[in-house]
Amino acid sequence: MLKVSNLSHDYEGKGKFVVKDISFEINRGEIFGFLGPSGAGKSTVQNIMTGLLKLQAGTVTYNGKSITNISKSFYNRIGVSFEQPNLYPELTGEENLRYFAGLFGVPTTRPAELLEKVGLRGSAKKKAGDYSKGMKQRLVFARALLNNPEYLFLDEPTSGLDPSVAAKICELISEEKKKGKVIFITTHNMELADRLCDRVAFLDGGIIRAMDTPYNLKLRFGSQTVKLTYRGDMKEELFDINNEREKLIAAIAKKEVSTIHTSEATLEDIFIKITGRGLAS
Amino acid sequence: MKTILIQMAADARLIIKNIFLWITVGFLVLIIITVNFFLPEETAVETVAVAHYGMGLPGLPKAESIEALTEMVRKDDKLIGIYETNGEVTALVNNLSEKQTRAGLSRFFEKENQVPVNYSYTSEVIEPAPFNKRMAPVMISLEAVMTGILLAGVIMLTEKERGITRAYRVSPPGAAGYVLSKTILFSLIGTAYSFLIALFTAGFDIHIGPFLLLSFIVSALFTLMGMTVSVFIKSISTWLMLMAFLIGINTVVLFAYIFPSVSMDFMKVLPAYPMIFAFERTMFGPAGYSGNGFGVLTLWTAGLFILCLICVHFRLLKPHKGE
Repeated sequence: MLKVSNLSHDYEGKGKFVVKDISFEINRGEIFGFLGPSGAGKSTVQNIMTGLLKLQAGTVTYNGKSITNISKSFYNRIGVSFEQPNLYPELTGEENLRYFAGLFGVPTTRPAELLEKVGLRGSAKKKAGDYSKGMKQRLVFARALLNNPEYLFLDEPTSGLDPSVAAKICELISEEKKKGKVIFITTHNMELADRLCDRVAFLDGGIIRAMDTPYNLKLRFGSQTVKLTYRGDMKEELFDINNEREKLIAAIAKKEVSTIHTSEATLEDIFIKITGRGLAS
Repeated sequence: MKTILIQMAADARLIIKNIFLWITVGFLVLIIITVNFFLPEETAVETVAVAHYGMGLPGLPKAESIEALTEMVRKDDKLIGIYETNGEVTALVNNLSEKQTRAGLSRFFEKENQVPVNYSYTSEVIEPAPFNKRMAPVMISLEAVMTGILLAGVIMLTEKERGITRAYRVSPPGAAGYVLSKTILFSLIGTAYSFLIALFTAGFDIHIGPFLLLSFIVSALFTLMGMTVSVFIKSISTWLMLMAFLIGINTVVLFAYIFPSVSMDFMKVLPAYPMIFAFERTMFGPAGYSGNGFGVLTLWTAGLFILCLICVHFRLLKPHKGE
């Protein structure tokens, strides 16, 4: 289990905390989504969890062992996919994977197998510098899986991918979940979070504003509505199922209804409702 | 070990595709051509000093005995020691050719053909090498400084700029693997360069074993120097300025070899100073390991290795306070 407690970070040491009092835990076989707009502090938290940034306040523990006491061999057990594709552009996709595979002290997955999984088999011999942004993103994702890690950190894993490739990556992430891995995703893609994550946390201004399963958040903060479209003038009308049930029944009985649609709030709607701002900002 | 070899192989692939490697290869070819075809075998530019024993030459350094005179000459390549026995003048020289010696002594004799022809070499040098060949150690030293400082530094800086160091930081190898893989690779490249220059200028008539060992040590030394400095640099422009400074300060020492009179105390503190004289001995001296140059250079390399490890560990690979 991965546990983060009361984590705060101040880059300048002047009391201006980028993230403040962050606490959550992720169990085996769970995908935890950290959602928020750019600059919310998502990457800062991930960098502290992976040891890239120094832990200033709070605790981060892996199965009870603090990040401050772990040895370098611990990195055999984690996989990190960065948002910025940090690869050797002069090396081919396969060479990049082979190089990084050589850094681990545990058996690694064959580069060809991983390239096949992420749909880059045909470009294995092509220089990474000639890859498109989406291809680089997939290669970085494949690199994170090289050592079959117990803990997987994915920073914007579907950024720059077309929908079909993004779906493929989501499928692979779900497969990793089934293997019992602890998966931490930072993203501002609410659709991805809704589709993949067992639990999500909304991060805004460096603090967690809400944390729960997507379903519970929708239930708690969203409203379930039914949209009616009438024949003739094609006028639309929205009804809240919980508060306007009788009004809805009456409308269906009295007017000639063309279409009926149920709709529920998206995570983005809820985020806006809670924070007062959208994810793109 | 496997990790180090894999990193070396990857770095080798990267450096082959880097322009700096080809600049240093071009420089290598230029050196070989210059030494063989453009530098003269003899030069009058060098100034030689004269000391004597019992010759009654006022204003010149005087030795108390022939043994003392021999010792003075042994310590100074550019010194001619003269003494007279049974009416015959003998010139003691260490590393000067007959022509240079004649030129150096001509002012004491009315005619040049009166200059003593009795030459006695001190034990340091068997045969003085021609001027152009004696410039080879200068060129080899210059190439070692450039290759060492530039190649590892440029790879390190590129890795930092591309964020690859971040990926390395979340993998098991520590600073030792990182530093060793780069140091070994670039020292091998540096050794190959030095050997090629030596081969095409002085031929096989050098002390090959000590020469290769020395080349490896000095290449490692300057690779470590370049890496240690590069840890702290973020932009290519700052890096280039610093590298130019490092190369410049180390090459200033090379003048001390060509013109002994410009040898200043600060130069002797720099590793390039013992390096160039150690190269000279391994190429032209009677014993490849003579002198304390090897020891000093090994100490420099060991010290820089520790310093580089500390810098890479704490500055590059340890969790940062800020990104």
